Amino acid sequence: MADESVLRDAIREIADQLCLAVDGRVDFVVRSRVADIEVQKLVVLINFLLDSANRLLEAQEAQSRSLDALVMERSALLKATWDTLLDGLVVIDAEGKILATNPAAEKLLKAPQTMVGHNIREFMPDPQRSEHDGYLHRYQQTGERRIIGIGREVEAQCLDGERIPVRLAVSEIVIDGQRRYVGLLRDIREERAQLERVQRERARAQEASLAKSRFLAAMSHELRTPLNAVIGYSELILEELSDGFSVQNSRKDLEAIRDAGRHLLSLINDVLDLSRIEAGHVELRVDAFDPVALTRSIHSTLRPLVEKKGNRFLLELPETAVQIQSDAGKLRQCLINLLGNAAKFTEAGVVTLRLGWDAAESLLTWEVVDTGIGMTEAQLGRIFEAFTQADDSIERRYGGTGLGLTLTLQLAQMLGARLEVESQPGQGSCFRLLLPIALPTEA
Amino acid sequence: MIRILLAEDDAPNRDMLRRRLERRDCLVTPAENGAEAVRLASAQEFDVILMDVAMPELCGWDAVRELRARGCPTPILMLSAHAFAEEQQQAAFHDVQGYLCKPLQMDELMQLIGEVTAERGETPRVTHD
Repeated sequence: MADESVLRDAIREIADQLCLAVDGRVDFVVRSRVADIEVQKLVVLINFLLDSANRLLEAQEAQSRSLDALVMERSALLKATWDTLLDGLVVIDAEGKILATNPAAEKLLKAPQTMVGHNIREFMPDPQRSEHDGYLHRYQQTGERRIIGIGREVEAQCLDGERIPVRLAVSEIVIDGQRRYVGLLRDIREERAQLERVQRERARAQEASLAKSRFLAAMSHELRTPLNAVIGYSELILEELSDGFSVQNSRKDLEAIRDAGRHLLSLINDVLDLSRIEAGHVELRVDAFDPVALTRSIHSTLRPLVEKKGNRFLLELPETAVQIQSDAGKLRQCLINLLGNAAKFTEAGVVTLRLGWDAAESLLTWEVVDTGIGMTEAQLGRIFEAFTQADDSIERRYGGTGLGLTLTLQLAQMLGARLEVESQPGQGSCFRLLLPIALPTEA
Repeated sequence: MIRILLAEDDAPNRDMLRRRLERRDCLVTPAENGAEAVRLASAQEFDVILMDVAMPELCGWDAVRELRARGCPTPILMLSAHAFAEEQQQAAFHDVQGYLCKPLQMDELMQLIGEVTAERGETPRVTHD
């Protein structure tokens, strides 16, 4: 056994070394004046342990502080996203019970703060409603996916029963061994409506293009028939001339050429009028005028034409004159077209031009009534189409381009007027032009 | 002489074509519509039928169907003012031997008449009542 002083020195030496070994790493919190080596060893050890514990705690605190910051940052981000996302978010558990919804989902499904706790199938229409439990169960058993991770367009049913198309995307998450499903619902009503609008516009454009093709085909047909006469008769006359025939014999043939040529001209004029109206190149010229005076003037202008086939031409007018604002020229054109038809299809009968007004209804009404050949229901349905007359033989028997009523209808529409027709085969026809207009009570 | 049945409802065009065909040694029987054409072709024998398409009573295509249903073997040439493909394609669905657009070219018409009547000369005729 060494003597005490040697022992004390030894203790100090060891303690110093220990202190050196942990220098800068250990703050001595606990000290002892007992110069016993065992005691000093204990002191160093305690301090080392304390220090280590402190360091560990500090490190943990720092880590936890940054973790907290991270969690807060993420939470804030999630909350902001959750609250402001325009798509609906719904979290459900493995049974379909709703655990959370964002404001957009509640707004979309018209269920303010009432969705949590309910089953998601309550927001599905049948048959999905009754199939959903089975579907969820099957997925959990077999992994067979229909929507999860795939997404599809489905119908959602709002709390008030309204069904709306949505695009649904679903993700699966597992928390503490529990499956959760996060569904994102996107309202696609606007998208659908847009799509339908585009499809409708496309169909309209196709229909317009088809109508244009039909019009062209019909026009080509209508031009070729008189052209066939013009060219054929001209060639016939030339052939006969080369054979030494006299031109004197060709009189009737030349008349046929002239008639066909005139028909071509009226056809081209009508087509041009029609295309000018359709292209919007015809403008309304609104002026104040007296419709009674206008109607009287049309009656006297068309009298020779209407009375040519032994018809009586009657005029019925209100007693007082008024002033209205409209396009007198276009009204005149409409009425002349209608009277021209009446004269064409009536023989030894009566054609009546009648003007009446209804101040209460603010309506001026012209009627062109004839006792001519009339039309069947089926024929009435076609008469306003370009190049169609009541029947194919009409043109041969009565002439005309088949564009008169199409033009009249277009003009009437420009004036804001309605064109109506009633007819009975063999009894006659009545065309009515109704012009809504503000009428002064007396003029 | 080639015996021709000419069905055309437009009087000036019918008379003009009749006279031009007669100048070319044809014997022309005119018909004013499809129904009359069917009546005449069922009662008399012709070497060729010229048939307008747009006619009242019975249109050209309906007249063709009716004639073929009755067993009429006479070659038929369609004459039409319809110049668009859709109408011409009708020819493929009917037993007709040609389709010509108005305004007609006489050379073309006479050549086609020559071709269809020559073909008929080579094959034995099927008679019908």
